[in-house]
Amino acid sequence: MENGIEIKNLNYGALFHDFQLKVKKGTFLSLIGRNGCGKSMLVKMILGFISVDATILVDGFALNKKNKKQIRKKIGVVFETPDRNFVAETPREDMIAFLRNIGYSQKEIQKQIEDFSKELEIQDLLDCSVSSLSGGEKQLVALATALLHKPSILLLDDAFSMLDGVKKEKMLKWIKKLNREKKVTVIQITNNMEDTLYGNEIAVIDNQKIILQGSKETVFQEERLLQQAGLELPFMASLSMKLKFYDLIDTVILDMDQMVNVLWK
Amino acid sequence: MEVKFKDVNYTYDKVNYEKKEVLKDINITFADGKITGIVGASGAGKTTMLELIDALLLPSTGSIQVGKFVIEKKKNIKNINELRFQVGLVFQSPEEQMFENSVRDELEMGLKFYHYKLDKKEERVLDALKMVGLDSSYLDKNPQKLSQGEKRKIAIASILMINPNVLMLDEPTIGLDPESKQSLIKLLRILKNRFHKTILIASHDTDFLLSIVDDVVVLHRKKIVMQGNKYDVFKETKQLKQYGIKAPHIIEFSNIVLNKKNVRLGYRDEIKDLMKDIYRHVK
Repeated sequence: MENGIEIKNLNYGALFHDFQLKVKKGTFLSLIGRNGCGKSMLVKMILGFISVDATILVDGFALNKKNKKQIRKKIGVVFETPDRNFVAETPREDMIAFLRNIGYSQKEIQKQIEDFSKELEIQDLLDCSVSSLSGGEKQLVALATALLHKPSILLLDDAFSMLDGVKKEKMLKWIKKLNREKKVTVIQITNNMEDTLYGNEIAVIDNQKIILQGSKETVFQEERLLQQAGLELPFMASLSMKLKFYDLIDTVILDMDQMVNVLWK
Repeated sequence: MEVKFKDVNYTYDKVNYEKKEVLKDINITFADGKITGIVGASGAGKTTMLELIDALLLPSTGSIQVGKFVIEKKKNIKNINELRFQVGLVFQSPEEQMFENSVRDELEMGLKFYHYKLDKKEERVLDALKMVGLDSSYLDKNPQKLSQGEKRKIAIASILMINPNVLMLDEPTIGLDPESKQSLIKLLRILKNRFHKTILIASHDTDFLLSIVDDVVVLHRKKIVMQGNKYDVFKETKQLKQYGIKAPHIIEFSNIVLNKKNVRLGYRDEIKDLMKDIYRHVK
């Protein structure tokens, strides 16, 4: 497999044993598992923040001490705790420092910041003190910063947990579009099963390994495995499974309008 | 214990002497022994509302009555520590209320701080952990090193240690996996039904709120714009969207069926109840 992300033979204390994960380039994967299963650790490992007994391949390159800085340039990341994403006083200063650090010119920096802040509607937040921003605002700014250098891989660790429902839906749709149109590989770690509907693949962590990986439809068939892993089905998947059981529909339907049309032909 | 807001406004002074209005004309009673959800877009004032009830903030005008306590700007609350035992607030960021190096110390800290004498401290510590689905192996762990979800559970447990009459949770489901959310729902039901606690939950997660609350209050741009029984509020999906709020999925589905096919399914909490309605109408 040339591109995307691959983790081979990962062993890490009590968290991971013989752990393998393959994410093909251009996939939008939701990585799910119960609290404490190590989801956030994987993000740090892929970025080379933790040395591990494993082979980690990013776009074909095996991660090591020498190349980790280069590899990080391909990746945009939004960490779980919004505060960890910031070093400077204001979002704008943070973005400028970040881009300058990877070699962007003054002009390019200005353009990137303008484009992305407009896209994510955060222009008003750019010059506020980071400490005055709400959790949700920090998450939006962190997302914009993660995208500034046009990464080919986006790692989102519970990146929208503090956004209100309408805003979160907007952001997830935007990420879906980014994945589809620009072929950015996306790995989203989430505790909210409804978020998995925006991606195209799901991988489930349990007992130190990936126990299930595949398309949404495939994974949603395995309700018992999901429950054993501390998870559950999103609403439409759960409704589909029950309707299928009573022979009211034939396949899993994840779109509400479609479901209504099928049930009341 | 009832909580009553009377003509409450809250404005705070920003660093550069600008004033920021956060809550305006708030008049509401949170009924004793009920669970109320507070929803609203980020910045609508949910957290501030909870902080006023805990007297972490004082209203600029108006008053908040919490049982026999009255919280007002110009009056000092006598025995404020007593209020702090009646009202417990679990913060949005668990780190903000964690200071100790072990879970045990964290759980006992609230009791120490308020000079609360308790005979069977160890028993209560284990009970509090059990209530949030954690076992005794957590006692010697460093809370700062736990996962976000685990931290959140410890924060809830530490508030349960002081056994308040009014329990407030600010975005309690952020970072919780589905299994933990279900455990939290079960715990809240016990706290309401068996222990008659008054519970307020500020949350974006309307699916979670639907499964546990009795009533809902909607904040939008500093004011209360909707309030009432959860079904009456959540069924107004279009209006809620304008306020930045996504209605629970199961309610949204019933609305789509009504609007597209003119079929009235009930507004239900759980799929198994909705299934009965669907089956009846489709067959």
